[in-house]
Amino acid sequence: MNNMLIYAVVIILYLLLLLVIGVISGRKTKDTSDFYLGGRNIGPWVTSLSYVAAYFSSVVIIGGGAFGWLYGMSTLWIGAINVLLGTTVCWIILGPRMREITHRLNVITIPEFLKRRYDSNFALIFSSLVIAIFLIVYNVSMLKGMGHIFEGLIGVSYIYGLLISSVIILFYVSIGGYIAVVWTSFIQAWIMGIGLITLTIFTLKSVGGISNAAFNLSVINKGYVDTPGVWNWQGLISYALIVSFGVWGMPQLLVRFYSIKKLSFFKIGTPVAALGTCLALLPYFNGAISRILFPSLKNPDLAIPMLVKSVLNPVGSSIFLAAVLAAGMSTFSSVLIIITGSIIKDFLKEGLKLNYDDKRMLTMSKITTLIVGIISIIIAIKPPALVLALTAFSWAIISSTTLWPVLFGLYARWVTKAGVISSMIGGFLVALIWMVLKQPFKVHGFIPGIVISFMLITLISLFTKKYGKEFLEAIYHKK
Amino acid sequence: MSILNIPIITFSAIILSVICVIFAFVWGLLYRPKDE
Repeated sequence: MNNMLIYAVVIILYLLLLLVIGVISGRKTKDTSDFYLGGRNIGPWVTSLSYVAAYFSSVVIIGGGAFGWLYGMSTLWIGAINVLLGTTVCWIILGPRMREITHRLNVITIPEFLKRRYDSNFALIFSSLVIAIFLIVYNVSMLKGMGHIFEGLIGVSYIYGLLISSVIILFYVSIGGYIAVVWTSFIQAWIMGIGLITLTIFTLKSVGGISNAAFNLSVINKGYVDTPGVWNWQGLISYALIVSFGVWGMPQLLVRFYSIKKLSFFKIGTPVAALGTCLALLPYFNGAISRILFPSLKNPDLAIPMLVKSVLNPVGSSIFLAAVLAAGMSTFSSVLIIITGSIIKDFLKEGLKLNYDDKRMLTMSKITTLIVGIISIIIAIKPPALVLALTAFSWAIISSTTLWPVLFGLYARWVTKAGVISSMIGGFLVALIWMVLKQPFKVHGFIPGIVISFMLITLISLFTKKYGKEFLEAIYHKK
Repeated sequence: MSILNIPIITFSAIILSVICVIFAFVWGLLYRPKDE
């Protein structure tokens, strides 16, 4: 009973903090630019740490632990590639350039950027539909994860867990928009950091330190400390690429580059984001070590929850529960606002040319956030098999559609409209068909998706009509 | 060869992460935004 009280106090305090941030942000949200980008006025620390929080969902913490338990310490490489490609290189290559061009073009969403850069209404409508549909699917998996965390760690039923977390998120996102999303994500990144570091310290204490842990693990099977060890190179490399390079096409992360206040803020933001992403190594590390304590598990997803129960006291466990919830909530809220932007700003306003004034657009955005959230909750209560199957591919499908058009759009003047449109359609179809065919050759749909999309954008651009010099100057030329 | 009983090929993941953070700090120090 006492333990439940501790859990309840920590979680209630955490949720109240989120509500307060929502109310304060709501007062600062005056127009659609505030709602979707925080008025492009976000500082480097909030931008970078909210990026980290949106990057890592609760699924990554629980699933990362499961991977660590299954494949051992070689999975540390997934976290390392996250730091290298998913953050450091991504922030350096995409960040300043994207902030600079989107600011000059005065665009606030990825589909809007694609439309302006390629002068293509199709690029806008197609990308906004793909983003809206497949991010809703992705959000269902976030909600499902949060419901299971409540159920698994403190015994609250799946439905109640799902409702508690999602209603709070819907409140603060619909009231406070992007400002609420980044500030809650900033707080959530700290909670995730504290939770993961606390778990790691106590796990190492319980197994007698890193050296002892590695030695004991190698006694069970040397493959659990070696690379690729009990896994294989193609599995390790392809998974690491999906969760690192795939980020380059994910709008809920790229939007952080739009909203940062000044280019000079990347000087601080980039190293802070890289440092924050190092947290990604910890779920894999703890999962690997958990095999010493639990040599056999019916479900590897239980590795982290069982470790938490085994090595942490109730206060530590409740902090870790808050951390896992924070991971899920920050990703869910970041994705939710992108879906709203795709529907209202891109599809209805830009695509279908609905000319409402800004105040009406803001109200519609808030209502749409609520509707999308409620639809996600209804699907998550009992997700159909198709949604579950699509979840694993939602990243791959979105990234296969948008990654190259965004990257080339920032740097390559020679890319043509035909090249971009064929790349978007080709990448999308290949990733989707790969899923329907149940992953031939055990290769994830992301790999063929981005390979085909890359080939189409480069090859077709070689043979089709280029953009005029004047048009390109307006995109790339500095004042 | 191993560090803390972890084979060097596995431990290199931790080393790579540290290098990335150091690189990002150095990049941040050297980065000069052109239009500000």
